[in-house]
Amino acid sequence: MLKQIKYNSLISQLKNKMFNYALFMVNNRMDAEDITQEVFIKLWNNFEKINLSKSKSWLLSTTHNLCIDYLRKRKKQMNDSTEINENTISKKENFLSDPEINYRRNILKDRINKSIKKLPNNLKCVFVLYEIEGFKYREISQALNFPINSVKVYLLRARKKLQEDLREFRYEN
Amino acid sequence: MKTKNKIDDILLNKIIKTAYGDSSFIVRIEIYFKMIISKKIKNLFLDYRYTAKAVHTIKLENIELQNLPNKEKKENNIITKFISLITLKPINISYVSIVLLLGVVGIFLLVNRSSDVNYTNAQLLQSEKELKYSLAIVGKIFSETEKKLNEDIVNNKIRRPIKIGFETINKLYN
Repeated sequence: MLKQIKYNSLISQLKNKMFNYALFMVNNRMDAEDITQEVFIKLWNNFEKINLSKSKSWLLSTTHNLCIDYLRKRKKQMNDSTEINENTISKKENFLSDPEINYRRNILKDRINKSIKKLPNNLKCVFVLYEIEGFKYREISQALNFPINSVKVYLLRARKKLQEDLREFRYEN
Repeated sequence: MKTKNKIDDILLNKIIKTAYGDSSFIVRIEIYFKMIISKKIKNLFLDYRYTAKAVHTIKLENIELQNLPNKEKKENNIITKFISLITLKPINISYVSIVLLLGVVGIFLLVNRSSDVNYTNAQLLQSEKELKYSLAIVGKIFSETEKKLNEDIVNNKIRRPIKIGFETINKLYN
């Protein structure tokens, strides 16, 4: 009973974060869902062995490893046509605001999503975890097994790379 | 003069950190003053700030998980939510334990309130003496804490960084 309650509370707290991380890493909704399901099934099977205070970092590292495994297995890159463009753009719009502003904002978000996906894996995982999911340096370092200084350097490089990638887009608009 | 206009890596890192809201208060002030002086720095900062704002507006998507090993039906009643809230973090368990302990002590005191005990004058004097002694210990601890706060924390951790900040600002103005 207690196990079930603890398990449910962990799921409700972290499922969206894990799913979004997987979505950014594998860039495919179905696979991200599969990875998230698998992570939580693994969590259930290993629940007694895991220290609850470290469950967050355990979940993060398991998701990360599964994503890396998935990316290794995937032999060919997905074409733009088959790429599912449904990542993180909110469908809920504020209808009272200017449609043109909304349109521009969505285009920018879409472009940023694409730029994030283009980042190298080590930069992308640190950037997504820190900037979008709100994890701390220490948590990222523990989960991904990087030294904290490497996490900071990767984050900085990711920000610079993203900026370079977006510069072109900004001048066009 | 040209070397002054050139943005080095350290300054660029500070600009990026400030744009993403990661930098310390002093670095933020330093960058804001440098932005006033140099338009190039300002443009660079605004460029990064624009991206940072857009990145921070990205919202997490929801997922509905199925086929999880939930053998029991998910109950959304208050008790289940309360237990899950308690067991979520170890600190919550200690808070609940303290509340329960206080409750038990409170009930115990309430139950035993009616007992009339007559103390002798000697016992009262002794207890007063012990009370004074314990208050003296507490007073000593407070005075030591105040001393540490004034000398160590306020001087080293607060005054000095502010002084450094003002020195930086003065340098920039000069």
